[in-house]
Amino acid sequence: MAALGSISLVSAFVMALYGLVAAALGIRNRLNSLVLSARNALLAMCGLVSVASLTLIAGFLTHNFQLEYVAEHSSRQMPAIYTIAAFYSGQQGSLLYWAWLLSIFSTLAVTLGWRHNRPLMPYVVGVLTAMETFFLFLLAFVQSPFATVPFHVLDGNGLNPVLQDKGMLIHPPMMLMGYMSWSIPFAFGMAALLSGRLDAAWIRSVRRWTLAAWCIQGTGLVLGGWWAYHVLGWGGYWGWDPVENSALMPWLAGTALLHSVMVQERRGMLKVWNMSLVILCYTLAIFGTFIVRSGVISSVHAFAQSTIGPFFFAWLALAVCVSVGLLIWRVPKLRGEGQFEGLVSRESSFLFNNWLLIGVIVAVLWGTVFPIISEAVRGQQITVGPPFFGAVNGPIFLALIVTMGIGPLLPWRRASPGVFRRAFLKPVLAAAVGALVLFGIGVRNPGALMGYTACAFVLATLVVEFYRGTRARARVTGKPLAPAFLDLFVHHQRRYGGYLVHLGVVMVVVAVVGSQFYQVQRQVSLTVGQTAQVGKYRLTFEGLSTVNTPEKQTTYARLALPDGSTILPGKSVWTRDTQNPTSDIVIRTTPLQDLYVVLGGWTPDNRTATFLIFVNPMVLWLWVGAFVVIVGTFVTAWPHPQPRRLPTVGRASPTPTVPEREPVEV
Amino acid sequence: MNTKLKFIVVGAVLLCAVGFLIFNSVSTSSEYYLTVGELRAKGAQMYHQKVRVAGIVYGPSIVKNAATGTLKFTAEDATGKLPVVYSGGAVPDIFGPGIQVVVEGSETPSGVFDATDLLAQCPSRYENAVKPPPAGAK
Repeated sequence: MAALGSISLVSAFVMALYGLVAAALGIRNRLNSLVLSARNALLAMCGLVSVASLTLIAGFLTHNFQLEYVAEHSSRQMPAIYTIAAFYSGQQGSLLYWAWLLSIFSTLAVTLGWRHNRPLMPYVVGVLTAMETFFLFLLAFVQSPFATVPFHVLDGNGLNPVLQDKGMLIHPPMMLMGYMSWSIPFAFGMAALLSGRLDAAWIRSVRRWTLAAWCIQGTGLVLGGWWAYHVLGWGGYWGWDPVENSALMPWLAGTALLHSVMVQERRGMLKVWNMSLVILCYTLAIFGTFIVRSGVISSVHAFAQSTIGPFFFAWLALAVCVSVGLLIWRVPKLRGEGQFEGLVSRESSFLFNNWLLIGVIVAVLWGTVFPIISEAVRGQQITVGPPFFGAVNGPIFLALIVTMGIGPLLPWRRASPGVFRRAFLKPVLAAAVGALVLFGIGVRNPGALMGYTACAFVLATLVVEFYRGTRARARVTGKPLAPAFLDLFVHHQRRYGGYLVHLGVVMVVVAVVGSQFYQVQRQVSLTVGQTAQVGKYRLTFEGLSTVNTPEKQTTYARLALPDGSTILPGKSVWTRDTQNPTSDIVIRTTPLQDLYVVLGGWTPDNRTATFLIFVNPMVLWLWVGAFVVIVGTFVTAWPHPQPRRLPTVGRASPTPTVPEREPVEV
Repeated sequence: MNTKLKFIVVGAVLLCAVGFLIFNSVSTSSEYYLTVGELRAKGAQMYHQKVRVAGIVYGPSIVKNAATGTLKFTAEDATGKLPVVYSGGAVPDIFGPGIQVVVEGSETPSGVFDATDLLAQCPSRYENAVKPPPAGAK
């Protein structure tokens, strides 16, 4: 089994080297047969890495403890599903998982794009193969998942019980997939630079694959928050930990790219900027992986710290040097076709949004690497905690939200004051009314008040946009309002899918602002019969009870609420690992707030117990909003039924009314 | 004012704003990140100053008071020992003997560290090397 895995990995590495040479020679000598051969090598590589991955999974399922990796990460009594999850729970396995996904995504990108992106494809194949070569080199020669132990192992070490949770099945694989998937837009960008074909074709592929990567990484981030919130029991979902920041940064860069890409598609501008963002996304993803694996920055997420840090650093340096070098070389070919005509226009709002997002990235990066910098400069590690990130990013995010409301209503090129007034009169009035109402119901914290007012403003612009779109659509097609509304998502999917994403983002902001400014946290110690008041909740402790199963012993505390219901937070001690108890958190979710109760401990006589009780406002909207964002992304990215009409670049003058208002039909 | 200049002005304003935010927040929210030994070596100058300290939980030292919710333990590393009192509330499930923790708070003149925050490093991976079975096992 070890032999099969190792041989597949080494063969895949050889195949990758061959593919690199074949692609290079094929491009150089314009030999189509060699280019085809390089593509086939990529497909074969995918097959070989799949064999290696399935071999490792089979090793886990058959408890082949001769494999060191299997022995270190699984044991006989683990449920089968977590035995499979152990595949990506360690260094070598997660590298193999990355390489496997990269080969699958590469195959998809090459196969799907082969026909209509033919001129770029030899280069795409070459770049993708080069990236895969790096991982295969690590797997075949540095960190083999198929290393064996020279003695007989009775049982493996097993996986930590905290990790044996449903979250483990979806969050890490999604996160790793997110990091990996920035490779594909990067490959298209590099292919465009190498080939010099810097027309509209590459940016379309980049946009589509960036949407995919953005959606995957975003989902991974939210799943991580969900897992932390529902399992770990500290009452929060985001901690500005270096590992979280590392995953957030490429996502932010991708957000910027998805917006500025539209300026290039529409006006032929910002080409150098867009290419820089493509490079930034990938290098931030690799940088994040480096941070996470190398151990240069301490984090509450302990990852296997190992020897591969320097390799990732070298790869990062290589990727930055080569891509930036290529970009500089091609700058003459990336001249913009138009220029900014006014400070207030759609394209300038995208530019400002980009600058703000870059500001967030710089702030997050600075806060994340600050311990290293301070150690280098002053010889002492100094950290900045969550307050730093909140204080810096709060105002920038506020500006971003406002931009999110303004941008979509502005016309391309230039907005005249009249257009501006007409477009924003209603949303601004709505926001003002919203602010008054919020103030009236007791939202007095300036940060929260500004945040929610901005949300009200964006919400109003979205309502206005959907209303106008639906009415115009109904008028043109003669359909009633409801079908006309749904029509918007079919016939103008990019625009209205994007609005759905914005709506989801507003919901997320509502949740973040609410839980950030109005979380109530109390630790209480209650003797049977005593009552605690937390927020609007009155909780009466009624006693402890214990439930035994062969797997675990769980102690539940019974807390009664005034409405007659009871909640049962508990703590479980697992038979297979008594050292690591887990909490059974109770979260009672309502649209306006979550009651979140953790059982801390109890006295030996079972009379007194301590609880950690949170009231977290609005958190439900975080999950709902994330779901809406994902749905919106799918709407936006869904292959269009009919070819889009590409707007001409040199249209005469700005239209007097807000353009693009009415869907143009047939 | 031509358009290009306007953009440059807006960009410069944004740059300054972000720079100011970062600078301002770093100076107000940064704290030393020390090992137990480093904290001890600094002596009295660190009393009552907010710091983060990394150490390993010494197993036999853990005392939980379920009636008040306070937790006492000793964090140690190769360079020293640090008694910690934590009454901040949430104790991570993974907290236990031998776990790497980061405590945030300040050292008091009595030598006891008054922790307001307790982070336990997630032992995401069991990285213990596999050992051969003891002699005699089949």
